[in-house]
Amino acid sequence: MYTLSAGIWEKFFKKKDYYVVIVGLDNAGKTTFLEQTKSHFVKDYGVLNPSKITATVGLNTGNVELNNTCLHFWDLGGQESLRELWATYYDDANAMIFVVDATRSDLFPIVASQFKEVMANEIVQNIPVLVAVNKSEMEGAAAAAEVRMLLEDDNHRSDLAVLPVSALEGTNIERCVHWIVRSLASQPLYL
Amino acid sequence: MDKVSHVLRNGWNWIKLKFLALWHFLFRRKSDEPEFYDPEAMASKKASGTLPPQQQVVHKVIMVGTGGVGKSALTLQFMYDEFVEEYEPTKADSYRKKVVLDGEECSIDILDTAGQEDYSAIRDNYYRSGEGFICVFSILDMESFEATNEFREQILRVKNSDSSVPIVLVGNKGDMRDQRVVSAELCRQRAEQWGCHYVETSAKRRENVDKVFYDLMREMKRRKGGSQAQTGIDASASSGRKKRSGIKKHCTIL
Repeated sequence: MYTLSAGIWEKFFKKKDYYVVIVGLDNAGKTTFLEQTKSHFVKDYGVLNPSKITATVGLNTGNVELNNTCLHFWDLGGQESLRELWATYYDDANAMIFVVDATRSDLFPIVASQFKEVMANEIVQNIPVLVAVNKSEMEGAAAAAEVRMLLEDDNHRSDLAVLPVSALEGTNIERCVHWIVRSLASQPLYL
Repeated sequence: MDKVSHVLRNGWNWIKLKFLALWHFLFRRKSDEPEFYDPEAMASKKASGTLPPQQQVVHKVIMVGTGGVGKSALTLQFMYDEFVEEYEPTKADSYRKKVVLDGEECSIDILDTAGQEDYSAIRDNYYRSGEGFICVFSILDMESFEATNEFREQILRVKNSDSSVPIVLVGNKGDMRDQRVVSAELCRQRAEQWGCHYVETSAKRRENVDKVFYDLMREMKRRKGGSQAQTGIDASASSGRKKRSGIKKHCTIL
């Protein structure tokens, strides 16, 4: 009886844990994105100075609590040699954020092929993916719609969103996090 | 009060989940999927390329209209039952979500374009990728109504004057009908002239929001279905359709 009631109690009141991986090419702004997210949702968080953020080796983590969910972010390094490691994190991931640098249109072919490679993974195909088009406040940044054209996701069966953000200024960061929380709980629409 | 509703919702979800599991257990077990992981079968399936369950139909919808008429509000209301009160100009967002249309699984891909800026060169590019269009104006704003003509011309130009492109004309902000500037008669006339549906919505109150997307997706499905039948690809998909409709019947009995 105790176990049953404890189970029911847990069912209703326990915070749900979700794991979110953040991937993207090097210097796209993944770490800055995570820092900005933390500063928006964690009280009294001392933000790292963006100019002091260097290339990530291994990973950075961050926890964000929101309503009844707890998001655990894994910010993975984007250097070419580190990209092979991304796949090892997918097993436990519930959502993914793919960060794209909108100002480097010369890298777009690489972005496209990298995204295709990421999307080829069967686990990724079944989790919500958010494409954050970063540095959108800069002059000459590509529109989110342009980036959308690059991305092939024919086999993706979960939700996808492409949103322009600015990790440096913090625009749209909240929308991104809310989208992730919403899509983690969402079910297909019945019409 | 908030807590109570939260608990109730959670409880309801839990019961729903249990029922789903039971239903799955009762009706779906005899599927042709192997019960255990069989590497050989998987490999042969992968080699054959398009798996019926993986091959899914994507309906690409583009929202057009001048700034501030409620394109994003409609999109968000449709996808996530949400209405955002404050206005924040869109730079072009894109969303994709799984939808079950008439008992058939498919995806809807919505490109929510920027209304205010004139990105016209890029615009042509993404209009080309669209298969259906939702042309939004505000019934409180005559200018936005006038602009719909321009948007349609632009769409037709990109689509090589194919006037059968699925378009739905949407008059938004229907919750403020008492202040309306664009008369219903005028809207209906334009829809008739274009040969499309006219729907009056309120993104705020979620009036007719589903209808807009439903009408458009059906239209797109019909168009696609027609072209597929002509080329004659879809034998396996149609059998899947039959199976699904059978399941749906079970559901209504339950």
